[in-house]
Amino acid sequence: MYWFHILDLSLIYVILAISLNLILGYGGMASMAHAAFFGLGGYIAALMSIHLGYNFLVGIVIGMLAAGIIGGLIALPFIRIKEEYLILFTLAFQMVFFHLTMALYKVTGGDSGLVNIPRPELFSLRFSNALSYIPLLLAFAIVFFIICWRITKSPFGRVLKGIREDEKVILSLGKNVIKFKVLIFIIGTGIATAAGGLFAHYSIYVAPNIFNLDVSIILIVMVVLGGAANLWGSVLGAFLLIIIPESLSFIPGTGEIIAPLRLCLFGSMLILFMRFRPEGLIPEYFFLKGRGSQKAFFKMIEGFKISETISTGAKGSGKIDYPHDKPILETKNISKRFGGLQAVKDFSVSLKMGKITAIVGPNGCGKTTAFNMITGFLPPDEGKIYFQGEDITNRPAHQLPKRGLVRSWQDVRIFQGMTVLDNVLVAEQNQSGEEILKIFLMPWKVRGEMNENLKKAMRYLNTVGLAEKALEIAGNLSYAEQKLLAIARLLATEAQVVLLDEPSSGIDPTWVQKIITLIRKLADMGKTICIVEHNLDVIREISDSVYFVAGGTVIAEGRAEEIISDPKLGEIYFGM
Amino acid sequence: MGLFLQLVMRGLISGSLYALLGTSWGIIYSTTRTFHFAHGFIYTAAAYVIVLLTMNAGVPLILSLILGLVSAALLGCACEAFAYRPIRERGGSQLSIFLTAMGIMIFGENIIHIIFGPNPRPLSVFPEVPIFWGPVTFTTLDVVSVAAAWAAIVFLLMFLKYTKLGKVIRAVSSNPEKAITVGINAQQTFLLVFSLGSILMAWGAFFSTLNTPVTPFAGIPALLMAFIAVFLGGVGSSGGTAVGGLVMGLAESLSLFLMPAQYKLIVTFTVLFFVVLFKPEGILGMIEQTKKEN
Amino acid sequence: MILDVQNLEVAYQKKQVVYGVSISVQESEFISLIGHNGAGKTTVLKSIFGLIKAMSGKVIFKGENIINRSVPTNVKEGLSFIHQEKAIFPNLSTLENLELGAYLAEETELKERLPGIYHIFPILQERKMQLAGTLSGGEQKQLAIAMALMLRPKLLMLDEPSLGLSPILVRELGRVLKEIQNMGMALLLVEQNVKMAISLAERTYVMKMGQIIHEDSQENMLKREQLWDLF
Repeated sequence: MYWFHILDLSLIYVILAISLNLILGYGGMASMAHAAFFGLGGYIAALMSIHLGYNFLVGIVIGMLAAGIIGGLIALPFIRIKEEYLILFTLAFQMVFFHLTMALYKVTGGDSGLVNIPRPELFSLRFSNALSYIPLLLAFAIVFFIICWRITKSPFGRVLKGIREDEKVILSLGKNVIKFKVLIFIIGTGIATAAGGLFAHYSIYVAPNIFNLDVSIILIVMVVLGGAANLWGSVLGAFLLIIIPESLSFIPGTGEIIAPLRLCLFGSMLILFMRFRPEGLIPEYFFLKGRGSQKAFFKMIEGFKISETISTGAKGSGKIDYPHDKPILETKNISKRFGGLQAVKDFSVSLKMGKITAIVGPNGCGKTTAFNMITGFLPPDEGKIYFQGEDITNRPAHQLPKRGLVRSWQDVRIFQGMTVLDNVLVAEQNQSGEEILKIFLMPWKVRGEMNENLKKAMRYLNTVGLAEKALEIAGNLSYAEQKLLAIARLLATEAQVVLLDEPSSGIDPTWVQKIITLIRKLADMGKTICIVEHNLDVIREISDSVYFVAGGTVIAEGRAEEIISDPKLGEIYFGM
Repeated sequence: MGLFLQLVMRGLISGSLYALLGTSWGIIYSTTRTFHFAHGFIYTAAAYVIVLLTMNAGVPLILSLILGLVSAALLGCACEAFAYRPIRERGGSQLSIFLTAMGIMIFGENIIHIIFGPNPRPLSVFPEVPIFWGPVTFTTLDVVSVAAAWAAIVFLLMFLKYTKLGKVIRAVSSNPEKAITVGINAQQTFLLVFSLGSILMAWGAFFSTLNTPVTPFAGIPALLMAFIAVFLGGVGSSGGTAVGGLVMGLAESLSLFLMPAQYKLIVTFTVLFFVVLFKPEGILGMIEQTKKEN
Repeated sequence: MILDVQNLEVAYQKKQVVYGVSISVQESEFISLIGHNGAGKTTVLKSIFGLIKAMSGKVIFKGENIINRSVPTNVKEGLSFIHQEKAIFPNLSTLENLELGAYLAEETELKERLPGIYHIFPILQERKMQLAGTLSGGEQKQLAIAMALMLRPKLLMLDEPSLGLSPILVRELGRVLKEIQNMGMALLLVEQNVKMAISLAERTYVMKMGQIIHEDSQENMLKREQLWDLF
């Protein structure tokens, strides 16, 4: 009888742990308020059924809605500003919630809480003892597990991983990081609230100390111990951390101090795990595809009949309707100052559609700063930037890729912890699988798209020559291969205008040739390319026109041969 | 009017304590960029050391206080040397350090709970004599506490500005890599800062406990007040934190005009919410350079 | 020889960046190391100084192999390094920055050195109470160099000090560096401004893709008509 109760309690905590894992493990956000949302659900469900007599499911749904609103209010301002504020805020919210439940005793029963919450009723089934609740709670746990599973395995989940890996880069691939973080926060808190409703109807008693800071902390320990970003880990964590303390209570003499003893144990486990096994008991990649499924994957790929490149006429070539005689990207006198240093001044360049434009200049001449301004990572102090005739001067970075403008990074910055294939998949635009509603309401569409996207991704990998390494962890690739992957990633965005920041630096001549060939391929597809380069061979070979930049401004413009052979420019390049 | 002045007075008194707690955490955070959650445990541990030595072991108050300050410094350094530094050195994230700090916090407070029990432990060694100043009333303890808090804050500010070690701390805070390049031992500096911050926290715990008996769970509310003072006043500015603390104290106190005492924390929460929303760098703070670089 | 680097190999963030680099600097000699962005020049300097771990090789400074030795020890022994960027403490005053430059020196040494420093960089005396972060780009560079000089190093290593400076300031910078050499210090200058590097240095090394591809005397480097083909 007692162990049925433990099982029931564990199932509720499983729901809490997996929902916190969404926020903490997958979202990378430390929320100290999970128990407060648990409590919110508990109190709302209790009040709904005590005073209004609604069926328990109604109370749960209302609770989830409330969590969505409150969670959004808390998350939105602070995720935009700084992560530490989220910790502070959720901590403050947790404490405020506790104080409110104590203070509003007319509504909440204060310290003594609410009792005699009606038992749940479902199609004339009544639940009256611990055993009878097991199927109900198990059903809910399974449903929520499946929901969390679907989210984390979807393209949405992949973007979350990208956010954890490198927030700036995922922004530059067109993903609205804030939207993803706020959404996962709201979903996590919503599920926690539902667990609260279930709890209220299970224990028919809610009180402030069931939902206090200690509980929030215990939940964090469950997630961390079990394994962040691994749902099965949270299931394990929940069971272990309910069962172990209960087993401890059988040791004589521990009766009174069981609560603090439990917390001491959890505290020390947290310290030890963070020090020696931060990935938890079941690490994120525990279930990574082994040799066997890799073979199966490649067999499946063969069936796709991937052709080498995407022809210029095909969908996804990035061809857009824009007159060829007008510059597709233009900067007009943009400037940027950092404290005492004027990095860029009156910088004006224009890119002609379908052409390869190079930007050369000595180190520190402001090229990268200019790139950062064009791609929305740095607001210009003065001047304007136009893309396809539209003023994009202050547009946030993530809005540009879907308009057709992307960039690469000087230090490559591929997602080291993701597979090569996932690196490319995550870069694709307009994926319905990244929208929560579509994942659940239109699963067939999402599935269909995922297959299409897989085919496209393999094609891009084939184009750069990395197809056989699709399932490799990107971090294991050589530097040169990572550069190829970065280009595949940009291909996947299907953007028309591609800005490449020193694509040939740091690799030997054979690889430089490969990069040159690839860049030519991109141009053959009709894309507009702008490269920042130091390697004059590259510039000579592929650029249609060159801008010479020094001291933060454009000094000269012309064809590669003109610029390179101009002795005055040579002087400037090598020293004034 | 009399009530208003009384509330302002109380606000300034509690605000002074918050300013002290905030400053003690802020110096650690701005110099080492560590979200030292275990700082709350330092508070509780120091208070217990002082209380137990004075009330149970009959040790003279001054000696207990000194021992309390020393234990705080040692504990703070232990957190840094044994818990945070290994994680930082292997490249662990800020989140990992935060979780470790949290682990230390709950382990520590609950050990105290197990060994010494949950009941409040008073430190009743200071005769509280009420002082009447026009419409306002406060006690001799209040005077001493406020003076002590500001003395400590001013001491820290002067230390940072006028001593060599203070300069070193500011250097590490300003540009850690350059500090190493001029030959500063960053690890030792971190330990120094943890010691200073812990001593200040213990100092605050002492005066707070003279006023209110300590429990094993006193750390988290104290820590929360410290956080709010720092983020309200502006990270990286000790002066700002002090102002933040006062603002908090006043807001909390004056809220009694509008609602019963239990809602004090909600008022503080709301003030923080709006300040952070509209002026993220805090009332007096400087936006950290790292944000600009991003 | 004040510095003798033999077959230095360094990896940075899982990638090997320096392959068997050998450089030598005599007492009071001015040496330049030039090459493209990403050639590994900064990594070489940082590795000599102790900021980045070297995989193998020897770094012989004043007769001792100091490879992977701690930075404070190196600074104390007379090895100095100036970063390409963020080479000062922006939140402290100019004077405090200078005092920190002399962190490892005695109090008296600090007082002795200041007048000399102010003589070379008079603007720093003018702005001594100003917050270093508010100084202009050129002034910040001067401050960074002044800080390094506070300890009278035997060898001063600079990472692209001309970055972001106008032509006039670059000329001024070159003059100051020569003055420093005349005070008896050796200099190892990493530069992208090739003209400046060649005109100041007695010998120049050229680096590409992590290796030294050329070394020549000042005379020969200046004679070269086309510099482009070096790269």
